[in-house]
Amino acid sequence: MKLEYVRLENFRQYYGEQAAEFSTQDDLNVTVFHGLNGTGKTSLFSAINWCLYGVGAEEIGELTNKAALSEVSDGETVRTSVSVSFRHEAYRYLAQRSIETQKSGKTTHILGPPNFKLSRIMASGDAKPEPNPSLIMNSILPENVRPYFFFDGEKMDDLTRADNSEVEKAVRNVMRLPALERAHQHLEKVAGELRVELKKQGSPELEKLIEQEENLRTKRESSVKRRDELKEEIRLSKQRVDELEERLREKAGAKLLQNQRDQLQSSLAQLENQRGNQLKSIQEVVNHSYISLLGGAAETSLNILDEKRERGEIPSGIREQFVKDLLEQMVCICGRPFSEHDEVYDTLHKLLRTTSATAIENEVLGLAGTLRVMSTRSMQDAARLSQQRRDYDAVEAHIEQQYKALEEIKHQLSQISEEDIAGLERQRAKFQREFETNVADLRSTEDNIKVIDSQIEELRHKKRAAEAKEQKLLLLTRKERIAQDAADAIARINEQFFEYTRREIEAATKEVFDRLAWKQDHFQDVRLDQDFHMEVIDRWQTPTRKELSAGERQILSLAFICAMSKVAGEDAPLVMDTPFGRLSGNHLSTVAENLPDLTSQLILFVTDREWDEASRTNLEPRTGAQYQLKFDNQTGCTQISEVAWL
Amino acid sequence: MREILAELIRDLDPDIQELVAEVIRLEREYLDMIKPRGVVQEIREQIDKYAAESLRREATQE
Repeated sequence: MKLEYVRLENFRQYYGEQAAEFSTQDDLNVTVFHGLNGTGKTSLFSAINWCLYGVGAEEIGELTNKAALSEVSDGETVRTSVSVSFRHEAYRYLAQRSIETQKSGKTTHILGPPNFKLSRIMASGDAKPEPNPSLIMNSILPENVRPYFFFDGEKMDDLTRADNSEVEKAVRNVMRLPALERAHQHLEKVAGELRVELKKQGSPELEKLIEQEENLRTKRESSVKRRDELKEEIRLSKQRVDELEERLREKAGAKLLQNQRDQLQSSLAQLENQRGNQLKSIQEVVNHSYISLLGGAAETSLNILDEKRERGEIPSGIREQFVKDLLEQMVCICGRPFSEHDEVYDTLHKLLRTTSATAIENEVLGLAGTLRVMSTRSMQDAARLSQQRRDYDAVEAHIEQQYKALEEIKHQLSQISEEDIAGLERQRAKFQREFETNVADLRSTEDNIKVIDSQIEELRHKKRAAEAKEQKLLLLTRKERIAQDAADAIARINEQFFEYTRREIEAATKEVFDRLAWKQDHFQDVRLDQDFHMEVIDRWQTPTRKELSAGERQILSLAFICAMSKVAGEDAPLVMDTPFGRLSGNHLSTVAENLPDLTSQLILFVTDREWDEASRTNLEPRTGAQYQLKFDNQTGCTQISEVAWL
Repeated sequence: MREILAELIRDLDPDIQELVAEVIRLEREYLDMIKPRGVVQEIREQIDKYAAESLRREATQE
């Protein structure tokens, strides 16, 4: 989607008809509107949102221009409209939204609901009205995705300040994941209906199996519901803990202890991470070096082999061929010749008979060699494991120590005589307990779901066998089977796709954040964990999101939005009201320099202060259209004037 | 991302690949509607179609 122009008619402070064209060129993809506070930047920004989606007008008061209303008599009406022309894929569209406002003394009435039209502009210039304009608009850029492309820059850091549910919602909407979720629900519904039909028509055996499956699915459904509730409860209790800790940080009497707790928690997170990695590498050694589990078994086996050899039960290494050669040459090992009647001849024959076959001998010799190697490796692995175990124990001890220190801080805070500090700490402890209990419940619920899934799988195999016997229900059973298989497949795809998306957005956010933030050496990583907590990791490998400045938070949000757009392949413009309000020199320069590269079209509504030397220097080379909003004190109206600098 | 989704669908049992792709397409279409109605009926029709095709394929193979 690329915006081409906007035309206003008596909209807010824009009297009469006024228009502005947006730059649509690839190399000059920036359009800037600048003006002093109160000249109508937000009104113009809202006009675009109102025209395309019918939203945003509620925050800016009466829509109809007052000067125009003053010119009409009682009972007469003034038309207010906004038109936005845009290109999407191979088509050009014109969206128009209008209202009629009737003057009635000192009050006004809007006649009827707003009229919204969307027309496709043909090459001939003709406009072909779309029969369902809202539907088409929603398919071009859905309303629930719009806020991530058309937004108020000053409120943008809400995304990183807000809890993870907002971030998760953004990802789901931009990636159109609700379509997968609904596909799953609907297929489950159809499969359920088909099972009811099958139960009515099938044999008692099939009926019983269907009933069992239904029971399991009901159990699963309630477990999934419980899992989702737990996730929400975890999010809420974590949010409450964070809020209470924030309040404790603000209290002079608790600040020091809370800061210590912050450090301990962040170090604990690192230690727990380290412990996890250690556990993984121990598992790896054990999995790949099962020999280490032999202990002294290889050594003992070798001793047994040697003893047996000494007793002559196992060949001592004399080769069969050697004995055969002696017999053939009829010469003893000492060089003395012998005949068939000599004792030597009998002894050598006996030896040939008692000597094992060559293959067995080789096996035995080979086994001894292998056992020696295994014994050496076993010792090396054991030494490695023992070192890893010592490291693991050290980290465990450190973690325990940190937990004790955290307990001590909790105790100290709850003993502070200032009533509100002790009270806040008690509340915090309560929510922390809730959080921990819910996390444990969540794990067990997830395990339970896995067990149910395997039971369902087993049952479906049995059901298939039973279905095969029921020829008359062939089509019905097949329908139920493919409906349920498709539902299960979509549930799996949804999870995999969501996880893939999360990882892609995480990587893209980091990439954009690196470009936009000037402290690249300080910020080492950006993470979006599986619960959609966005976090920035600093040079000390500690989470630092809470310490980010307002400008840095804004940049993180911007990086996240650009990442979502990139990953989703959403070709939508970035329309920002007051984009640089919170950015200081360095950030402003890097954002202004990089932003045009991160989107196909950039439309900015900036104050004169934001449109300073730094932003102009960086943005003007990419700016294709520039407008100044001039407010006329005498008329109370604003004029959109193109800046003829190009 | 569309390719990733397509790849995930390609990994499915051939019996349900097309049905899954079709249901997702339908849901995307309906998702953009203001008041989506009738998608379940359309999904049911698709299931009828693919189940019949699956049986026909099996009969031909035998």
